[in-house]
Amino acid sequence: MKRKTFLARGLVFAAAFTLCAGLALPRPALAAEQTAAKAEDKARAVELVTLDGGVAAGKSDLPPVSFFHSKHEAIKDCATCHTAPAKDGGVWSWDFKNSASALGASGDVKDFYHSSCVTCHEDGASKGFESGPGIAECRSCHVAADVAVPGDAKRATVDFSMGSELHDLHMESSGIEANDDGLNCGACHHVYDAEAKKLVPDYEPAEGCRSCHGESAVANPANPGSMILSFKDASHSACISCHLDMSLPTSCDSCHSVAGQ
Amino acid sequence: MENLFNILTGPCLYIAMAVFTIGLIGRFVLYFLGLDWKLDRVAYKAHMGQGLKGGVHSALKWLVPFATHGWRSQPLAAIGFFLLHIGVVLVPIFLLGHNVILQQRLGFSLPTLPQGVADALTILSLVGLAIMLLRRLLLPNVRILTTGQDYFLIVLVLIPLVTGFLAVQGFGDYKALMLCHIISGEVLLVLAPFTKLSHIALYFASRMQIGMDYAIKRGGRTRESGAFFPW
Repeated sequence: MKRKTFLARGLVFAAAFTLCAGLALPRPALAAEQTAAKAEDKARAVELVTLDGGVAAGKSDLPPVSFFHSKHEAIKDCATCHTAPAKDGGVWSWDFKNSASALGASGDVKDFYHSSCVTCHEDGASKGFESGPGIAECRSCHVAADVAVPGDAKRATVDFSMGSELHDLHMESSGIEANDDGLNCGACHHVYDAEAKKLVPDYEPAEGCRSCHGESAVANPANPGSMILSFKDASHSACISCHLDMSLPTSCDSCHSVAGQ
Repeated sequence: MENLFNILTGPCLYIAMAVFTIGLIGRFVLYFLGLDWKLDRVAYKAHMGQGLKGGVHSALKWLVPFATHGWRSQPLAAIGFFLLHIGVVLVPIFLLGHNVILQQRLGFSLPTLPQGVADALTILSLVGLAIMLLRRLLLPNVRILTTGQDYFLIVLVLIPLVTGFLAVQGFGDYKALMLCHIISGEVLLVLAPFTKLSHIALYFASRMQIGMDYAIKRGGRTRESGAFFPW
């Protein structure tokens, strides 16, 4: 081989390997950014939403998608992702819209969320908005969350509980429709009227919410075929729907953090 | 940045796939249109059935590791060849991530490989590529046939393999690696019909032709195995 061609080939390979190596090595600036982002992420664990779509851990090659809800709040219109009430004054359903029917027995979680989430990201990007990852960036969404995920013990520390101060605030609020005796209780508290087969306001609540609403949805014994929502779904539906109607804060940390409350 | 990904996985992807598919089909058709039975001294049309039998047999048999005398006589080259080609054919077509893009863009997808299998095949491909490259550099009879284009193509195949693998393994800057992966992959698709990468289609053309040749003459009509030349 001529010396010159040998050198030329050597250079081509050296260039290719340098390029690959350069891209592969963690860049110091980026590493610092990532560390900062992770510290910030820990503080925001409360608003981490995980879309596992019911896929058991280890069943998928990639970790389930975890994202921060606040990254999507600039969209403003909740109905982009959630189901608005059918009539005025009704409550929202905060599951991802259509997920229950789309993810039924034969539903493909992957296709459903790809066509819902990624299509929106790509539409947004093509319209010039700051937008989420496109279809080729698998691991920009499928990242193992480095913060406590739902169900994790660490997460419990940021769980919301309606302390007495907040409860008083709601009891005394003039913005909430009161019943005849001037108390607000019936606006939130209800009982199931088995004869009328509907929820009716409970003006003298004796039992707490969790006496019916448990960790997960259960069949309603008084009305076969209907479900009693989980405590999480029931409270998100009721509280956020009302906050939306009254233009009160709806971001995760406005309830789920001491500072927010 | 996100819009760049949109363009690369949208219009650019469609163009690359169209050039690749139409280009290779064109090369394949032109190959056969360019055959001249008088020049080749093979009566292709007179013995089409016998010829095709031998042609298909030849094209398939050379795809099986060590099935032919040719492969058995140079085992290291055979190992390098199959390690490289099994990975670079199976992984791009059946990778989960690629099929997610297919599903999103074209509404259909193919069965997919488990990620661990894809990772292993990619590593084996890199080993195969290294063997093939060393062979090209060290054997004088291969080196003399080698041009700059061959080295360029080796690098062009190497870049999407390495960047894709590193991105999946979580090394480096994910977005930069993915950009590099997509761009190099699309350049590869576009260049395939116009470079030696056209062997993706022309392998089948030239192997078919030789198979026909051996099935029609060179003993094909009198041999005990008939059209099936014992390659």
